[in-house]
Amino acid sequence: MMNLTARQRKLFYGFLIVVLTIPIIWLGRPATRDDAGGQLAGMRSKYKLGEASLGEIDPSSATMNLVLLGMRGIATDVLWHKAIEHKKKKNWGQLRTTVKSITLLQPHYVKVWDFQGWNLAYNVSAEWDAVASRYYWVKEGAKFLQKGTSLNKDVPELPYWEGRIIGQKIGIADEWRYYRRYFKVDPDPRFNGGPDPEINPLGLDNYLAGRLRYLEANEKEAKPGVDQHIEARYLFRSKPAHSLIDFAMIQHREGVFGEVSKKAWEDAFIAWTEEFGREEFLTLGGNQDMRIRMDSTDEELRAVARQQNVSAEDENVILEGLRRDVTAMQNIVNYRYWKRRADAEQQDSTVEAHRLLYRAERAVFDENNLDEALQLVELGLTSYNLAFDEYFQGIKHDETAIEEALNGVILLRKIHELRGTTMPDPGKYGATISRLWSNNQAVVPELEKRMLRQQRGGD
Amino acid sequence: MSFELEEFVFFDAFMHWALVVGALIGVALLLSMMTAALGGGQLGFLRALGSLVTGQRKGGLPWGEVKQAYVGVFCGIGNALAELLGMSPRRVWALSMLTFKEAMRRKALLVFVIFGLLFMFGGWFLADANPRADLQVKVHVSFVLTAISWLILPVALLLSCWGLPEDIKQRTLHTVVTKPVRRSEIILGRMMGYSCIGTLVLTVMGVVGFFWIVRQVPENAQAQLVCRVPVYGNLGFLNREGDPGKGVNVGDIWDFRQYVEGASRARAVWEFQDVSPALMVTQEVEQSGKKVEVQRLLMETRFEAFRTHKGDIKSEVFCEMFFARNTRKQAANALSSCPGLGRIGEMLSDGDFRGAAIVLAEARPASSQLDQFATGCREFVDVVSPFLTGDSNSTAGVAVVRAATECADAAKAGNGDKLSASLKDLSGLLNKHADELSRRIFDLRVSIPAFEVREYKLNLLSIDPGAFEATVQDVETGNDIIRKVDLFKDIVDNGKLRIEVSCVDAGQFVGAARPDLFIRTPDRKFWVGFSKSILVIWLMMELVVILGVTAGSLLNGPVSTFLVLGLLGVGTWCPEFLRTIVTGQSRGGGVFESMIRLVKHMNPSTALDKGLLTTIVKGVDGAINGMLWLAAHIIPDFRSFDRALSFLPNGFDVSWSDALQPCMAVTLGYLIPCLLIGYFCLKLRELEQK
Repeated sequence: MMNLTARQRKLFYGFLIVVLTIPIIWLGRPATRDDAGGQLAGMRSKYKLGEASLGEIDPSSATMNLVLLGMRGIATDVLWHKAIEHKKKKNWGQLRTTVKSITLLQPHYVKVWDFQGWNLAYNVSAEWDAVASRYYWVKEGAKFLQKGTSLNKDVPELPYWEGRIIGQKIGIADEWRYYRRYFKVDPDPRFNGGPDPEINPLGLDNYLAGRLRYLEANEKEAKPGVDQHIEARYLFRSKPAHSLIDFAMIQHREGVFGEVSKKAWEDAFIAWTEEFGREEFLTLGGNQDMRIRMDSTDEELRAVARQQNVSAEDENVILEGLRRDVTAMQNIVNYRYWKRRADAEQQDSTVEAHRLLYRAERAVFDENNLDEALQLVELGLTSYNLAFDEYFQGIKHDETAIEEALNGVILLRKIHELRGTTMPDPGKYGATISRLWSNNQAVVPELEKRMLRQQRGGD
Repeated sequence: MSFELEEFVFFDAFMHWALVVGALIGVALLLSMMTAALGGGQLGFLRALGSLVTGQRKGGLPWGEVKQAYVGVFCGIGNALAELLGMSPRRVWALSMLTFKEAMRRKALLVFVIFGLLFMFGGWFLADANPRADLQVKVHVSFVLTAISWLILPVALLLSCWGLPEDIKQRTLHTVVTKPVRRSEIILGRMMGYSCIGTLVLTVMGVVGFFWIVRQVPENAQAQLVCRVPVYGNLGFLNREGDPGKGVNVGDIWDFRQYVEGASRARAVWEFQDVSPALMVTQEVEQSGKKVEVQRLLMETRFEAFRTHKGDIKSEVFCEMFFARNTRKQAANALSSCPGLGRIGEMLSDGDFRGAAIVLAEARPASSQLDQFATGCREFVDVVSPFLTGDSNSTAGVAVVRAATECADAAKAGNGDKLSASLKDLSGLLNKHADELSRRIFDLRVSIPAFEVREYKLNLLSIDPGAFEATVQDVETGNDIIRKVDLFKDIVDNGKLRIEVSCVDAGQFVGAARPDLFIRTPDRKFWVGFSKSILVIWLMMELVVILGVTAGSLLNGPVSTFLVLGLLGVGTWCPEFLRTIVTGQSRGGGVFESMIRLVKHMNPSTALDKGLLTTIVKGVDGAINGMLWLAAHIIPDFRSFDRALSFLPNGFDVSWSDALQPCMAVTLGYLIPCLLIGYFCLKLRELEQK
């Protein structure tokens, strides 16, 4: 080399460049309709690294990444710092814009969507004082995750988190009454008294809309090679059915009884037992040859064990294992409880007991009609005693059912207090009510406080 | 937006500048003298020092040569001053035009290509469904201002840093220096030339940017394209007992707002100066079916709520605003400031004039306290006079004012006996006319209906100055009567307006910072604020040009670029960090101490072991810190520009005193020393050297 002239050296370098370019072009040639492309195109397709295979292509995101020439990591760091600073200084509009810029730079980094989606829906919304403003930021969080879902088609976590915001955040936040109303009738005048079409295009109840997101998450999760990294798979898969249970439960809380609530519980029961209950899962040991269901009958388990073609003795061992697995799975999702509860809540007598107690509460706090309230609460407690004995007795740890009974007695006490009379012994309305009252005195003060807070408009 | 307003005091800034520049000149002079001494003899400065100590001149320093060198130094300084003062504007202009043409040849205008691309696609990134008009404006205006400054600064930096070194390298500077031009004119001409090209680029970008904003901002936000002109007051707090103190810290990381507790006597108190009807805004209102123009005092609030319990979530936290003139309290404070009259404050505040009379009668001021007494009495007279004399036409009032004046005069004259007699007179009058005085001297407070805090939104309060009513005691009968109160006549006291804000809801808090309440005077057009923002960018560009040309006069292109880039980076992002280091606020010590801590896995709060090593390390760190202190004071603080550029995106006019003045001061502050440095550097530089 040292003996070469300048021209010869240049020619040599040129030759080297051409030689090296050939394999690069060959390896990196793009895929066409008729040709699978080079090695790199094949690997991109195999490992789903192409933009198109990950989700929708955002031209602004692609442009930004191209312009930054591989410096996006640094740019993201700077933006992330800015986002933290904006949050600290409560520049919410700029925070939203900065977060958007981060996702433009790293559209496929799931943690960004998770963290910032939660940040907007839970942390930023809590910083605002007006309920409508808080709701706006809850929506922002959901919309943010929706955008993430569209850019990452094989990530089940994103629709799951969106479902969590739409279902749980809106449904059980302190401001749930307002949020649920706003979900159908948005306070923003731009929507003319309708829902925000971006998060509720069909105008559904928030739990039903949340269920759609969970179903989408389940659909993605069921694809081969796709995993979720949030929780046990049984819990993850149970969410769509559980959304219907939540929807049915909220009917009673909002004073909706009769056929509507009955139907809601029927749907919930079907979804829980037939949709989720009949879904196949691997055994706890992860045996690929054996699939079991939450609602597997003994016969079905025996059939699974029989398929293993082993001796009768081994078959029994396997069967025992399968039974244990089903029980363990059921325990994880509290399957038996919710099945029984959904069944019980469909019954006319249960619905009537709930209705009477709810009406009594309204008669006291909204209508100030103590006579009617007393009549209703006495009838309600008697009915509830019967319903409890018949349906809830066997359900272990059903705190909701116990609390409702206690709330009934607390209401009775309040009515007598307001009337200036003495409350009779709860045993008058049934032995179960009496037992629940005397066994759970420790939680009564807290329940009483909560009831009064709720009546003041707290939640 | 929440501004962290920083007051700019021109005199203080000037003194600081003079100190730093003076120190630098001193150091430069010392170095010159040392260099001269070193150059004066073959054995150099140490030899000179040795001969000074031993007193032996023979065989020592050649004093004649040193003297000559010192004379040379002072002559050089004299020549420099003469050159600087005798610069020819015509030659400077000619050099500027030469520089301008050279910059054009270097394709500086190619920056418009990037500018065009940015603005063509900028809308993609900014298009947001955010319905809030002010946020839409903020995003668009921020983008334009940031884009312009980020484009213009690199251009100015590269042109100015590479100009002179390239000319020296190409020897094209020879064609200039051989002409009858001075080195100072070359430096100034360069600065002006690059400024001209920068100004041209900036003007085009500014005009395009302005129309881009106007076109791009959605229709629903167009009304927000204005510049609000705020008048800020000074903020203080009353604690829950109603005494002056601090607000509550509710745990915010950002220590910006302090909070006042609901349903207590806690208040956030603003005091505005120079308040007059001229601050009012003309508004159209409907009166009996007709639209009429009325004058209103507009106030904008930006408070924050903090809840300690859920409370009523249907509505936001409420706050109440009082306009107060605390005449009685001021009078009480004035008298209680007199030595020995401390007790009188509370009595007078409660309207107990008779009790106050007893205290006055018992007062025996010592001769050393008479001056303080005179001040207190004079202040008392100033406070109560408008309510007791003049239009009020009260015989008792006139007598009280006269007696108090006599007290002040006697105290001023140092006549203790006369003061005692006058105090007795005053005491007698207070006792005799206690009822009338309490009806005439009282704290007047009016309020507007309680309103929701409405966080992070534009909250305008339109205040009719004549619409207030207050229950006061009739002067003659002492009965409660409802009286009309005019904000400017009855509440504003010599241009001072006191506004108190309280939180209505028990257990909740309202947070306030100084910029959270201001009087909004008539808005200015958007282009006014935009032009001022462009002026700020221009000033920033000027500073970069000044630094670049100065660096280029001594260093070569790449080194100058890195130097100015470093100054720009450190001056933008690190001044606060530097400040914490040089003031010793950063924990963990200096460079070497930190290294030891890192190696030993010691946390910053653990003290280092005492010993020689620690002493050495701390000593070295101290020396480094000293150098950093100097650096921290020399490096330009570019945050002034950032702060000035944050006004417009937030819908405010760029304030002269808070924004433009500091930026101009920074730029001008560097112009003079840099010109001097540049001149000397070019003068000393060997132009034949490539």
